[in-house]
Amino acid sequence: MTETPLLSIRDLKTYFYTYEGVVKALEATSFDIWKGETFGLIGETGCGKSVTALSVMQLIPQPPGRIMSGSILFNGVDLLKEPEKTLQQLRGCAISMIFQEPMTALNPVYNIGRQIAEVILLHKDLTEVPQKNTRNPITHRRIQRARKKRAFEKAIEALDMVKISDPKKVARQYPHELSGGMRQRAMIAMMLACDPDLLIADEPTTALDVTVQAQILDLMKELQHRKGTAIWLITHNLGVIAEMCDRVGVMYAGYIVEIGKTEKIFENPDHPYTRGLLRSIPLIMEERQRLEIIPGSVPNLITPPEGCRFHPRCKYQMDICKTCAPPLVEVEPDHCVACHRFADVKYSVVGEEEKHG
Amino acid sequence: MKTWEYIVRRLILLIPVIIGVTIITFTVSHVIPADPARAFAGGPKAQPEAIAHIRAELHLDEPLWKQYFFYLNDLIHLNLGKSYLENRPVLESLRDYFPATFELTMVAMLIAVPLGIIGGIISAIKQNKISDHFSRIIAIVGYSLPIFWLALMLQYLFAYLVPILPLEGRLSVGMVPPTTITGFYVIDSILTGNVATLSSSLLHLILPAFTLGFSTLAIILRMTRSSMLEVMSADYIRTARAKGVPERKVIYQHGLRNALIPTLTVIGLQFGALLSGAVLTETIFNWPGMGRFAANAVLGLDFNSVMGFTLIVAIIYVIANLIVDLLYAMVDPRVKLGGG
Repeated sequence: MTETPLLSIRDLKTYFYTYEGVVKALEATSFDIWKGETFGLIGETGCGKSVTALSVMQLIPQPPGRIMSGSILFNGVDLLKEPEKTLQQLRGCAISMIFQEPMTALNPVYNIGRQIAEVILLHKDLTEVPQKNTRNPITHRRIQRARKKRAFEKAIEALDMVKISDPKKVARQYPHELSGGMRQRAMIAMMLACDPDLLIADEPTTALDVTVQAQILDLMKELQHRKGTAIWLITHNLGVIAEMCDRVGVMYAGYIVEIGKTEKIFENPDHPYTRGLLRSIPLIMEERQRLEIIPGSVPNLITPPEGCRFHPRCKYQMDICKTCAPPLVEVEPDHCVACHRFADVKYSVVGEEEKHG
Repeated sequence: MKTWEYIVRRLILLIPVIIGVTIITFTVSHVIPADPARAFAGGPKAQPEAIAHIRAELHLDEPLWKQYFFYLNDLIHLNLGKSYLENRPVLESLRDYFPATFELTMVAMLIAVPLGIIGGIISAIKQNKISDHFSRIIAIVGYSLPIFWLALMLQYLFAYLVPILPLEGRLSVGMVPPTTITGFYVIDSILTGNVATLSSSLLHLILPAFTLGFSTLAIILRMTRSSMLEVMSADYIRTARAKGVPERKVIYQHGLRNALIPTLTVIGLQFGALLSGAVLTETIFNWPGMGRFAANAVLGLDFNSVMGFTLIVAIIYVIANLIVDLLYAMVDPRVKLGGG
């Protein structure tokens, strides 16, 4: 592909300086997201998925967080070098983000319509309303009021777009009066109101019921088709990834360990961690077997293991894994893996693995 | 429920509160081992006839429960009895002293609330910076300084060492108070256009109002700081930032409105506390208000005045809390008046 990616993250390193020590949350993370695609980022809790997203938004709480190095190119502009003011103009407009907890992510003291209208007022010029910056305070106030009214109408349209029935009523309701699914729809309406190029969805359905999850995902897909937004979906639900994503990145302890086209990764996972992850989902169709588990747990990122961070849990580990972090190498077109022994992993069969384990 | 309906309901609830307060104050003031009749008749050397006369007049020779009903009966007719110290009806004394205390309290709150809230916000958003340490020191000092010491120090500094402010009273000595319209000297001076009394009354307010308001300032500051800190790490603040809202607006529109909810409670309670708790401040600054009146009444065994004062304070507390609850419903849409 010759065109430039929409978002290009290179060697991003984010640390958190806590009382217990420096948490090395992200260590040289690199990947691209292309225009209009759906990219899935998957991994266990605490592996750095959300930190990556928040680093891109630059919403890492600072202190204790600090982006140490790397670059985040969005449409060719390095976000890490831009001033806060530019970032404010980008957030909610070109890049927006949906959070995991619809219950707490909306401000309890403002109604839904006002919260959506706020983002429209911030980023859209609302050209239907004359907006000469007049010095007369009375006219100025009248114009402001007209803009607010127009933004509120647009907010109602946005609610209609996310298939909320009776959007006029919902716009005047407060978050505590809505269900979790409704709030997440309102959140999506808010974050898509300005037609962003990139929508970061950080576990958008984790807190919702299964039926509502499917509706929300369908809705996101539909809106993506209509608006051409790229979606960066963060989840630990493999089913959601398989369903939604064109490409997927697997993250482990602050590193991308495998990245590529979704089918390729699901068909031939080449990293031992990805393999374990895929084997740990129950399948209804197949004969019942004991689910495989990955032994051990996610390492403490204050004192992460040397070399490949997965080696203490890996059944393929060799001496080199303990000292040298493997680089991400292309094993086939659109499929990269960071593992010294990907070739052995590729050709190993289940029985052999038992022997190793 | 409609707002007015709620207000009426809450005001009706005042009646049991008043009855409860009267039972307590009445019992307490009548079981302490002192003889008010003797005190009013002139102390140890009083004539027995005079004592008997006063005793009969105050129904002190009747059983306690009967005395209580006499008192309640008077209360219904808005008669709080007679103040023996001032030799006039208690209601009249309270009517004279209440505006002085109210004026002092209002000014104290006008100092404490804005400074406390602003200090709390700055402290929270500059957490662990110099301005935060500074406001926290102010808060601890305000918490722990005894009022009488603070009052005396302020008098010593600003009325004696650097005499820029008056020592005590509501007006300069020899100045005629403005015509009574509201009883608040500042407002009356403005209404009558009297610049001299206006400036004098304002100058006289500064030291006592600051003394009275300082601890409240400290409490509001700490409350605002801690709730602001909590709110600013909430998910919806992150959402606001993700929307591209400028940081100023994040703090003042999204943060402050949520952080003010607990602060409001404190303000309401403090308002009641200041109105009733001005005893020390008023005594030291010789401020002719209810607090000084109550202190004198307690020392002089003037039970009618003590009970009248307590009653007024109870009513003020109930009304202040009612106002806070109404404000609550305005600020926080999750609060429904009378729900539950």
